[in-house]
This record gives sequence, structure tokens and C-alpha cells, in this order.
Amino acid sequence: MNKTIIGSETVTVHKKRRDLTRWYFIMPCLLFMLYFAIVPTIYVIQMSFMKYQVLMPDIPPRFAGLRNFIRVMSSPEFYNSLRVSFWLSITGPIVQAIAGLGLAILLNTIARGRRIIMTIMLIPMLVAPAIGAFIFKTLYDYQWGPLNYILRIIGIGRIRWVSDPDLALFSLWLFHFWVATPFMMVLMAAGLSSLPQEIYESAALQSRSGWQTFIHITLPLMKPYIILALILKFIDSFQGFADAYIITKGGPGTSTESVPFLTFRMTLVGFDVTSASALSIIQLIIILAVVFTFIRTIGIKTGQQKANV
Amino acid sequence: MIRRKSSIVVSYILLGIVLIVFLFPLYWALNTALKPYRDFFLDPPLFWPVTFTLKNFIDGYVLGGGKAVVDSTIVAVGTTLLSLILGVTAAYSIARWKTGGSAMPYYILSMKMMPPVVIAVAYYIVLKRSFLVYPPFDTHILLILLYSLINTPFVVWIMKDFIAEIPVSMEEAALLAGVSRLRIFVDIILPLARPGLIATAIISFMYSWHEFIFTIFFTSMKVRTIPKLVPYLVTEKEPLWGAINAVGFYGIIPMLIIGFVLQKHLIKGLSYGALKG
Repeated sequence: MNKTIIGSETVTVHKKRRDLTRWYFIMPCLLFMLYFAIVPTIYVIQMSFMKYQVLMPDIPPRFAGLRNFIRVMSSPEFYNSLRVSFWLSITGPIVQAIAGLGLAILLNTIARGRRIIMTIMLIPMLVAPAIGAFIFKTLYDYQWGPLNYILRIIGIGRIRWVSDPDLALFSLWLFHFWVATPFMMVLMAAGLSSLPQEIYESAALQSRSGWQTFIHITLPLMKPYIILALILKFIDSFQGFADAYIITKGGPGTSTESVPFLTFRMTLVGFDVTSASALSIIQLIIILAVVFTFIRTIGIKTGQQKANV
Repeated sequence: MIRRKSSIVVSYILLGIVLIVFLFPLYWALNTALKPYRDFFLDPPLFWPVTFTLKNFIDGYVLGGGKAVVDSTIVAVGTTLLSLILGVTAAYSIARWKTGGSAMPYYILSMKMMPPVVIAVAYYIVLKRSFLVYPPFDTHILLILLYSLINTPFVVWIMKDFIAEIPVSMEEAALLAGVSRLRIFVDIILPLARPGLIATAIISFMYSWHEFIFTIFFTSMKVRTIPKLVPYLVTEKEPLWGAINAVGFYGIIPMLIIGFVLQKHLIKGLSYGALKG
């Protein structure tokens, strides 16, 4: 069964006698996950099929069939939150990845000061999203914010960053961009430094231009890293909460209400825990579906990569 | 040769602009934190603190900034310890014996995809109904638990590769000498896995230091981490711009110091998951 890791036969014999050791080591983690994550999650699944009022705890939950799911999926708020979450978590990571890759390549062209620039670019990542969001809220301030002052100087005039329903989502997007682009840059720089140098040397011998090298060598080799970065940031941005909570409060209206924010509002403002449970299950399914489709794609891509090299 | 030089100059100029753009928000926060109250509402705004004051930092402390640093530290240290203890032992088991088959790492990693808000709703109902034994609302231990739930899968995922790279020959020798597995784990594996441990510890600490959604659901008066305190101060009648920004720096400065001192490990931790995944 366990052929690979432990090579010597003496140890294999040893191991058979104390076969339980491996379980001693993994049990704390599995039990912890089971009791504190799986049990409540099963409870949420159960709750999503129930009729229950959290404000009237004396009335026991009763079976309600699919009514909660139907209520959630027939509300315009649900589709609005899907639009917000998908817009932030698809357009955001794509642009951030392009910017991150561009910055990593730019960083590779210079010899001195690479390290110090990397250090400085780490800073947005070290700021808590809640604090960063608050800082952006002050930047976006209509009356006293510096962004509107700069826009006024260059002749565009003041913009309602947060209170204009058409702009508010972009303002959140911009905040995501600030937070995530440095992370993308770090990932891409790590990816670039792991690429085999010989390929570039031979490309230089064939006197290919920088752009050709990028399109034909760098981009295909970087593909697995890029897709992985997109997945990681998709999960992150889809679950974004601090930004909407602090910068826009989901508003104006519901124009920036992401799926997690809607779930939060159902639970802590509407006290409708059964609908919130149904919505939780729906978003869990959405995220798993998207991620597994992505992972399938990477599996194929990395396989091809290895075949090529 | 000349063309190459000029393109390098262009690179530096572009990078310089990027740095300015990405640092501006933080500069503005510092600028606000160092200004006296009357200077916030000026048109045009002051782009540097003309009258320099530290009053906002004192106000921030009085408004709960000091306690928030303590709360954040307790929760972050607790989370780091708990998720490393649970995660590294599990990673050892997976790396050495492939416990649970090749699918086990993926089961554990799929926990990472669980949206925190789903866990939050689950805990909200479970705690309200209080029919199972779970830590109560508004306690450090509840936050430590929830954060560890989210963070442990990451620790397992990174550490299993780190441990798999450690040669088994030393362990075999120790086993033949009759040393127990636990001793081997503590005395041989942990020291050799040190770079990985530091990298995962710093990411765990940072995750906990930054976490927001659970604090909104599960804390109110007793436990108030820095990310929780910031929006709490905003909802007051008159936003205390200076004090809030100062409190923000209570949260930013410790993380900046940790990030810069352990920069190599931080970058490794950030990129390792992606590169090995």
C-alpha cells in the first residue's frame, strides 16, 4: 500500500506493527475539522430545508422542503449579488494578473533596487483589508477627499465615488486592485524566476525580439502560474466582504451588495437564518463548481507543459 | 548599448510611478493621522501635515486602540499556534504515510474553499440554538477556533511538501535506535522544517491579524480586534478621521515590522502554495 515514502524494508516491518501511528498524527486535525467545520455545515444544510425563526427559539424547526431555496432564487437581490460578486471576482483578478505580470517583467529588466521595490510593493498586502478599505473611503470622500481634488485640478471635476450607483462598484474594484496587484506581482516574480534560463539563452541566440520571446516563451511557460493566481484571487474576491461593508455598506441601494454581504444582511439584519442557509449552500456550490472546472483546466495545462519540456 | 540604458531608465520611471500610486493611500492615511482636527475640512486639502500633532494617536489609544492591539495579538498568536500544531502533525502523517490516500490533501484543501460566511452562518445558528458544546460569543477562543478552521488547511497543504522533501534516512536511523515517533517528529522533523514553519506561521499570523467577517458576526464588546474597531469608530455620529487612521496604524505598524524583518519567508509563504500546488 505505502510503497513510495519509506524506502527501507526494516522500517516497513516496523510500520506494520504500529500501523496506528499515522492516525495518531492526523487525528487531531481531522477531529477538529469534523467537529468544528463539518458538523455546523451539515447543520446549515439541514437548516436550509427548514422553517425556523431565530428570534422565536421556542418554536422548533419544521421541514419546509425547497421553499427557502425558491425564496432566495426568486428574489432580484440574489441575482444582483451574483452580478456584483462575479463582476468583482472575474474582471478583477484578470486585470490584476496582467498588471502583476507586467510589473514582474518590468522588475526583471532592472538590476539595482529590485529588492527594495519588492519590499515597498509588499506594503498594501500587509494592511488589513478593513483598514485599507477605510483609507479608501477617506480617499473617495466627495467633499474633502484628495482624489476629487486631483480630478478637479485636471478639469474633470468632482465624482461621486461611493454614492453614485454606477460608480460605486468600480470604486470597490479599484480597492481590490490596490490590494491584489502586489500579491500577483510576488506570485508572477516567483514564477518567472523558476523558468529555465537556457530557453531564454537560446531565444537570444535566435535573436528573437523581446515581444516574441514574451509571446512564444514566457507566456506559455507562465500559464500554470497565471491560472493558479486567477483561481486563488477568484476565491478571495468572491468572498470579499470588508470592502463592501466599510466603503459602501452594500449601497447605494443594493448596487455593491456581494453574495457574502447579502448573506450577512439576511442573517444579522433580517434574522432570516433559513434563507441565509440556503444562500450559503448555493454559494458553496458555485465556488466549488468554478474552482473544480478551473482545476481540471490546470491539470491538463500542466500535463502538456511537462510534455513540451 | 545606449538604447539599453535608456530602456532601463524608462523601467525605473515606470516603477517609480507605480510605487507612488500604490503608496499614496497609505501616505494619505499617515497625513490624516498626523493632522489636527481643524485641518481635515479644508479646501483644497492639505497634502502634508502643516501643523504636526500626535493627539490622534493618543485619542486612538483612549478609544480602544491599545486594547485592540492586545486582543488582536492574543487571537493571532493563538490562531498561529493552534493551526500549526494541528496542521503540521497532519502534514507529517500525509507526507510520510500518504494517510487517507492521495485524495486526503485535496479533502483538506477543499475546506479552504469553504466561504467564511457559510461557516459564519453555521456558527450563528449553532450558537443561538446552543445544543452542542461550542465556545460562546464574543470570546478570544471562539475567534481562534474559527480562524484556525480557515487557516489549518493552508498549513497542511504547504507543510506536507516541506516535510516530504526531508530525507527519511535520519528518521530510519532514529527508529532503529528505538526513538519514539513523537520524539522524532519534535527533535528531527520540526527543526529541519523550520523554513517552512516560519513561512506558514507568518501567513497564519497575518491572516488572523487581518480577518474581518467573523469579528462582525461574533464579537461585540469584550473582544475587539483592530479590524473590528475601525468600522466601529466610523459609525459614530461624527467620524473621527484622525483617530481612526491612527488606530489603523496601530494595526499596520506591527505587521509592517514583521513583514519587513521576515520578508524572505513572507514571499516564500505567499508564492509557495501557488508554485507547489
